[in-house]
Amino acid sequence: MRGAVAILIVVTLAGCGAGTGEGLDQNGVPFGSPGSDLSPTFASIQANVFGPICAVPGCHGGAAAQQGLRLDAGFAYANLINVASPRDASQVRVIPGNPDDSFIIHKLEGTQTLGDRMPDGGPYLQQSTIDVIRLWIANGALQ
Amino acid sequence: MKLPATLACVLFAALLAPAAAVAEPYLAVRTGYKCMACHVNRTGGGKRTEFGATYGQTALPASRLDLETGEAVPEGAPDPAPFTGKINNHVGLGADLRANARATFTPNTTPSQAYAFDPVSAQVYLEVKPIVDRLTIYLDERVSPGAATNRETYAMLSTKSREWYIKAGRMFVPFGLRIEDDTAFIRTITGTTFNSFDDGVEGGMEIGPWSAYISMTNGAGGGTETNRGKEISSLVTFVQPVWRVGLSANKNFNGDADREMVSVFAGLRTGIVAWLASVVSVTDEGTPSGRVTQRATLLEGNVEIAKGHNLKVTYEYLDPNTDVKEDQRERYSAVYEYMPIQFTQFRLGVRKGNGIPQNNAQNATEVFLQWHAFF
Repeated sequence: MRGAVAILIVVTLAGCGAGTGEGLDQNGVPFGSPGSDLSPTFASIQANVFGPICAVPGCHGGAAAQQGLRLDAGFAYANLINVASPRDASQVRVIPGNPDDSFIIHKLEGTQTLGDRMPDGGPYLQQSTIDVIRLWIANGALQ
Repeated sequence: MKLPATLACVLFAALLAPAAAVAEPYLAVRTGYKCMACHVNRTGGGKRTEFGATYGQTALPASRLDLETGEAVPEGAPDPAPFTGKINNHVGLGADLRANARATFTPNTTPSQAYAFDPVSAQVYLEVKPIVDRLTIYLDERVSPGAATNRETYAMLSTKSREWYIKAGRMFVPFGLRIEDDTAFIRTITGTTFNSFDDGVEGGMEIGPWSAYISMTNGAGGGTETNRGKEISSLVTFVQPVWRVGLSANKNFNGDADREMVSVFAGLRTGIVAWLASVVSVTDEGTPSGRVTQRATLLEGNVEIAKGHNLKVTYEYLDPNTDVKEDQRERYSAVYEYMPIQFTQFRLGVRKGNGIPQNNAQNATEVFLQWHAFF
């Protein structure tokens, strides 16, 4: 029995250890690849945040995206701008020019009154990253 | 994984038979029971059966109170009648409430400490059995936080022997080891949390030590279906009194953005320790980076220190993209669970993340205290 436990532990822990982060940005994306560098434009936010962090399996990626909010490239913009949450029509995901009342900002900053803070279970975005999204919305949330 | 291989896994799973996904699988390992023994949902979670509710009041708490007088039940005295939420043979109720206080310590961040009372998480369950043990209509509604959200609503028809069943409606897709912690890597990368549900049909069997489930759903996460592709998910387990193994395979057909998931898991009881282990692989096509494969593992030991006292120690590992080097993460958790009386559990835990150094959030430490009230 002890042998079985030992094997279980060895198999499970094989290859463990956190990465050094060498050659990666703060989101764990290699520099120069889609998803690195962040600026207050939709293309940059899509490449750095929505794509690599939100549009992942089981969250907001693919056909099974939570709450129908698919944030893959090519889908995200249409699902965000002036679109209400299906769970509460008063909660609009992105209101161009109004980051304070945009549901996405509340969800990212943890001030939402509906559901959990995003990314679900963390790690949450650094405030500097959220501030870039705020600035994009304040500038009109252009595509 | 190529399509034939995926289908082979699905078929293999269907031919074998799975262990279920439950809110607290370690209890199933500790007792040797299947998930269906304690949960209405054959794959675990949600409303407890009459047996599960009774077990939770007699075997789990450190001490018991008389439900009518509130007085402690003396040692050796007859057991007080349990409250199981059963209204009559056809109707039953249940509920879960979790109030959480949390402190988060994030390195290299100002302020580095955050303290919060999380919004209360609460679910209510309704089980209606127009034909006892044959036809069930089941509702699982999340009533907090925020607006009410339906997590499961289905009709389930069982054979007289209860060995076979079929259900249709909204449900948790059967996949892998569905542990209580929704933030575990094996849960988040697969999207099989208790916030993840889908609409479709599921069939299953429970024969001897074998359990098997297979479902076909929209693959739209409970949202509006927008394509012809469907999500096929299967789960097979073989349960013995002190150990169990399980295999799960899932494919969400979505044109150029297919997702494939495989999970292998096991449970083992050694003395007062109930072990859980799981390895999960998720492959996504059509991402901005092309094909991306994620892998996560979990190893958990649950030590029954005394009746009503459980120490849960967990190690997790995540490789968020197997093609990218040095992006791996770990998480260590220790959670002390104390159930002083019926219907009440207190959980004090600490979780330490260990990720890439440039991401402060991945290296945060979280301490939480939770009050879990349920029946």
